[in-house]
Amino acid sequence: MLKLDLLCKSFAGHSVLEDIHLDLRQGDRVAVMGPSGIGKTTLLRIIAGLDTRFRGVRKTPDEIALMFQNPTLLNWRTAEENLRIFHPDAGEREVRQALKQVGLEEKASHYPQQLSVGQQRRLALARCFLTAAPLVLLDEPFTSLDPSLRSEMLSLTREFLDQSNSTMVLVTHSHDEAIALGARCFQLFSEKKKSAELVAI
Amino acid sequence: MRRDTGIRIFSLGLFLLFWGSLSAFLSDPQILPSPSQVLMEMSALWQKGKLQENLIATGWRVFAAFGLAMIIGGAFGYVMGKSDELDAWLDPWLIIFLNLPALVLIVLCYLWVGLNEFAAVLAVTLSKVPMTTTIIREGARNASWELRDLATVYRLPALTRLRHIILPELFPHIVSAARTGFSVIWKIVLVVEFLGRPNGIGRQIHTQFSLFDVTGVLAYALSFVVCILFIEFAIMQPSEKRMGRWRANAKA
Repeated sequence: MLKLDLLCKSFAGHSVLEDIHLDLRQGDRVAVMGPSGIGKTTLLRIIAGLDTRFRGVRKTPDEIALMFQNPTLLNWRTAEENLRIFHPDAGEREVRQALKQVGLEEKASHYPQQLSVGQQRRLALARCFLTAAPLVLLDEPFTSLDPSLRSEMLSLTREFLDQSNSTMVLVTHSHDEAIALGARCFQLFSEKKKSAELVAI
Repeated sequence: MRRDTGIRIFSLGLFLLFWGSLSAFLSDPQILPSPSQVLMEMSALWQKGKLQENLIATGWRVFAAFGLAMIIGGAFGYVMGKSDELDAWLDPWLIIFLNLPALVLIVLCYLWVGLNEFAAVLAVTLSKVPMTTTIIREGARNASWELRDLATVYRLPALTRLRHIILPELFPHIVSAARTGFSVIWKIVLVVEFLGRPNGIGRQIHTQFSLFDVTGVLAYALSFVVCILFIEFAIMQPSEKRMGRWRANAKA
């Protein structure tokens, strides 16, 4: 499903990530943790295929879903169009179902700026899980949310993951989030910035 | 009618009144004809077909140069805004062209390419491309890298990216480039015609200048200003509103 043998990733001749090996099967859920600036997002970008300047081997499925901390929506398109544009093969029923699942069925024709912050986040979540991609990458999507919205988002994410059986890689600072999603933790240590062990929670 | 529209019409009336009074005070049409004399001249030129003929010639040059400058400047601006390396390579060229007076470009184009239509449009296009590039580059620099990453991960086709992400993101900058471009280009076109074309409003102003015919100069110049205002109010502003309607809807 996902196989990554990252020998070295460097910026301007300075090594930031070394000897990271990931071998995940369908349905696995892992959380990449560690302090800010250690390279968690860089690792996620490598997995996503957005950063190809590294030494090593990366094998991922063709279809990948990605979600950032910000909702990153097309503000000039309606909620429904935001889903359709990123998933042109999705049918009318699937789009409606995804909107319904995140409680935005009535807001299909609304523009993102007409939605609350929570609704925008839920729309981004629906976009991420619309086609049940085999690999889902989440880059701190629950950071800076108020507790009730965070809990709601975690519960929806878990629901989507259970339905799709997607493999998930979550970048987070929070053990609680990893636990809530049933993920194993993968810690990046600061001394040498490399993975030390895979800790199951 | 909205209050500010009324004020605008009243203000325009005051301008015509001021012009008419000054003309009456000077009482010499050779120096300053009255608005009605200029209007009659315009009507006479229209009936002879000379006004339309020259308006079309100038209009064609304006639109050709405008379209080319928007496409070329837009493409350069976008890639320069997205790639720091390319920006470093091309920025000195951009600065040189930004500071090159339009008159120099016009003269050089006529000298190198010849006194022809291609040279005329090329000179105007080259005068405008650097400004468009600068404006679009700013837009591309401010564009969301997260959206670009999403488009890559979700493997959106190039056309979909252009239509749904790149163009809407750049839209305010495109409008700004189009507005400044249009207002600058038609003035440069008049100079291009003045210096080396056999027709067009600029050429006619040159002819009327040789004849010391102020009425003729004003008749041609104002006809073109009216056309530009028509384009501004009938095409530019409505399209801007239509393309940016999501903003209004989002505010509602």
